[in-house]
Order: sequence, then C-alpha cells, then structure tokens
Amino acid sequence: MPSASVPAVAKLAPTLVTAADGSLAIAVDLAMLPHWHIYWSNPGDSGGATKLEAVCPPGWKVGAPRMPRPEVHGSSEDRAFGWEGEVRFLLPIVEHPEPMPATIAVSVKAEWMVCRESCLLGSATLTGSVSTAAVPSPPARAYPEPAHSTMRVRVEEGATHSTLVIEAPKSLVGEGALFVPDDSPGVRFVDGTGPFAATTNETACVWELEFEIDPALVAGAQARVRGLVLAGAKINDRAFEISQLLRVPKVRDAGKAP
Amino acid sequence: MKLATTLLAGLLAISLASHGIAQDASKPVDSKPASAEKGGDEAKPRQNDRPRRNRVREAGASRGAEVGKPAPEFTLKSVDGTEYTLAMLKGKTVVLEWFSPYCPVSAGGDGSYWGSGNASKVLAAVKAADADAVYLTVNSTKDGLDGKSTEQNGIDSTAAIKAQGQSVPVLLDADGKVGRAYGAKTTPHIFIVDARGTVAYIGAPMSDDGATDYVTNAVTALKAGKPVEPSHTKNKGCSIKYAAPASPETPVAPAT
Repeated sequence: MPSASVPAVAKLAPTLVTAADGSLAIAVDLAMLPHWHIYWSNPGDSGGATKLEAVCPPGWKVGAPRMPRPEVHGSSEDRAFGWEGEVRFLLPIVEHPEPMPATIAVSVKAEWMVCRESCLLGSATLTGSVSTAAVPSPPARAYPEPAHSTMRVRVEEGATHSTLVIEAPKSLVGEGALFVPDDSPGVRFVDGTGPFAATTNETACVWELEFEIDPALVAGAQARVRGLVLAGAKINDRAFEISQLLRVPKVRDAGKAP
Repeated sequence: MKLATTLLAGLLAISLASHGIAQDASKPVDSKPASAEKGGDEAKPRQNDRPRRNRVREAGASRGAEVGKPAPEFTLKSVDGTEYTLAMLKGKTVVLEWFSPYCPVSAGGDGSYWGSGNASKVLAAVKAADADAVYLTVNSTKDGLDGKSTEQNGIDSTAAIKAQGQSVPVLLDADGKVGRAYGAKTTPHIFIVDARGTVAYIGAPMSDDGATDYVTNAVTALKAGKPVEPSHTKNKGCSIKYAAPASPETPVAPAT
C-alpha cells in the first residue's frame, strides 16, 4: 500500500489479462496516495515519464507498454499529463509458445516520478510467476485506439514549420475533444505543451497545429509527430492515437536558428 | 496579433472535406506537390503566413522567453546578498539554470543533475569553451513550501552546490516574477542568453542518456559565432512551485 514515504507502489498482476481489443498482456498496477500523480509518456510542462520494461523467458516477446489515456492536471502555467489514484499499464504479449505453459516467469522494471507539491523518483523490479489463464482487464480507464479509419490526418509542410491537421467526426469525439501531444523526439509544437482544443465545423472537430522538426534531436532515421485525441473528459472516454511519419529535413530551415 | 490571427482564422474557416486524407501512419511525409498525389498522408506545401483556419490553444499560459528574442531583464539578489542584473552581464554568454535542492531531478539526491556530478562536468566544459561565460542558478520556489523559508531554501541550495565542490551563485526569486517572465517550468530548466542579450537556447541541460551536453554545445556555438543547434530541447524535472501571482493592479483612469 502507498504511504507518506512511498506515495506510489507498483504491483504485478497475478494473471495475464485480455484487453478490451482481445489482446493478451502482462498487467502492472500502480497505486498512489490521494492527490499524488505520476506521468504519461509526455509528462507535459514538468515531471518525468513512467517507464516499463519486461523481461520474459525465451519464446515470449513483449511489445511497447500500453498506457491508458492520460488525465490533464495542473494549471495553464503548469500542465501535467498523467494519472492519479490507480492506473494499470499493459505490456502486450506479441509472441508466445504454443501451447502456452500454465505460468510464465516475468520480470518488469518500472520507473516513475510521483509528485504532489514535492516530487519523488520511484522504481521497482517486479518479478513473479504469472498465470496464463488470462482474465479480462477491468475497463476502468480507456486505452488509446488507432485513428486510422475514423479520422482524417495529414501533415502540411511549410517553409519554416509544418502543420498537423486532424479532422475528427463530431459524432465520434464530441465538441470538447482535446489533442494532447505525445513524446515525439525532434518535434516541437509551436504553441507549447498543449492540450489543444479543436474548433468545429458542421461535422467535425478540427486541429491545425504547427510544429518544428529539429533534425539534431530526431532519434534514428525516422521522426513521427504523435499524440492523442481525447474524446470527452472522463477517464473511460475513448482516445485515438495519431502517429504520422515525417520527412526529416537535412538542413535546418532558415530563420529557425538565432 | 496572435489573437487577431486566430480570430481571422476562425472567420476564414474552410471545410477540410475537400482535401482531407485518411491517416496512414506507414507512409513517410515527403514534399511532393499535392497535385502529384492521389492520396496517402504525404505533406502538402503550404504558405506559413496563410491564415490558419482554426488553431486554438487552451487559453492561459504565457509564452515566456523565446529563442531569438531579447531575454527578459531581471534584478535578483543571490543568497549572499549580491545583486545581479542581466544588463550588467551584457557582453557575456549567460547560462541560467532553474534549481531546487529538494527536487530529485535537479539537486535532491545522488541521481540528480547536481548530485550525479553531471552539473560539475557541464560547468567545467562551459568554462573550457568560454572562460567569460557566466553560470547562474535561479531558485523560484515560493516561500514556505514544505515548511521551508526562502532563506532556508537558499542555504540548502548553496550547500547542495558546495557539496559538489562548486561555487555558483544562487539567485532568489521567491515571488516568481523572473521565473514566470522566462517561462521556467521545471528544475532544472536552462535558458542561455548570448552576449547581445538574446535568448539562444531553452531546454534541458543534457540529453536523457547524459550523452549530449546541450549547455556546452550552445556556449561553444555562441563563442564561435555559429547558430545554436539544437536551440530547444524538452526539459523535464519537478515543476517549479511558484508563489501565487500578484493581483493585477487596479487600472488607473485616464486623466480628464
């Protein structure tokens, strides 16, 4: 249980879980004291991202952690994207032996930053034998789903910056929808951290978000502009992943450097 | 101007339906003209000065300092009572690091920027790159946070720096005016001002893996008269616990 000296505690779920989309995953639960929060992969104006990494036996392969849609905390001066209370992270099983054994020996390393007024760094290495008799994961929070077929998304390149344009049907996201940028190395939104509200036309919520690409900060050969469209404000309202591959300029655009 | 642009953008709203393209995250963006494409998510050239249709940022946050623009002037006293102004440092590269002795990312503990010895390495590299460069820390934490006075916070800040064998001024900004003027969000958060008083770099001191020292990169570039690249990086750390902003002054009626 979390305490004043350890305000966030991580625990490995005893069984594999099936997510809402039917996929199989290892689950890690983080519980916090009231009013404390941990951070999403883009923590916002401050904070530090929660990180999870799993080690499994040969024959098993685990994909990138799936984090539930973040809550937006703080003031306009200090926006934080993360979670309070209890939050479940899913580590999707992308390969497993057939037939599956009854249990799997799992080790998950979790790192987080937990803040109220002050902040603490936390970490845990969670090891255990997890039953493969999967149980459904309770849908307390929504997990982002791909936006491929539901939204129109494009990038427009300009002389000094590019623009991410998202058009989401109102029937899907509602007028209060927000776009929250995710961690995108080398990509910087001109208007800051967000979240960004949409404007609406008759049928859609629309975002036009200017961003710059800094080739010096792009990790590897590819850059992506990434984020979530959050439909509604509740933790179990739907969220949609935007991930758009970018052409990385070889030379810095004129006018960007001081 | 920004507001005007946004309003204009709203008035000029145009339906996206005529050229919206379904997302396909598997294809890279390139710069082919739109007319050459039948579909996909390729980028389309655009005029950046075209009125934007409807970009809206949640209202509230000021932008703070901006790269390429004059750095906000300041007058602050250090823990030992010495007064520092940006004006008096004109002609020198100035590194401002927002700092907290209690934050586990800044200077609170062995894994922090200061506690790990990374700050000392950066300080040495900055001095080697430009002996005239000035490195200052700024503490914008409000008075009384977690029961600690500004005076105590200053003493603890100085002690944390001294513990690393360094002597760097700690400027106290308990009312948060300077931190807000710069848009400092975290500890650490770095702002580098060039010799002309222009902001040249905003962001983290180092890359997450510690492999790239952005501060020394910037100081070295400025010394050589070259552009600072990168000029922005993503800062991370504890949020600065600012004092509540002072109430706006009552508007004075114009003389009649």
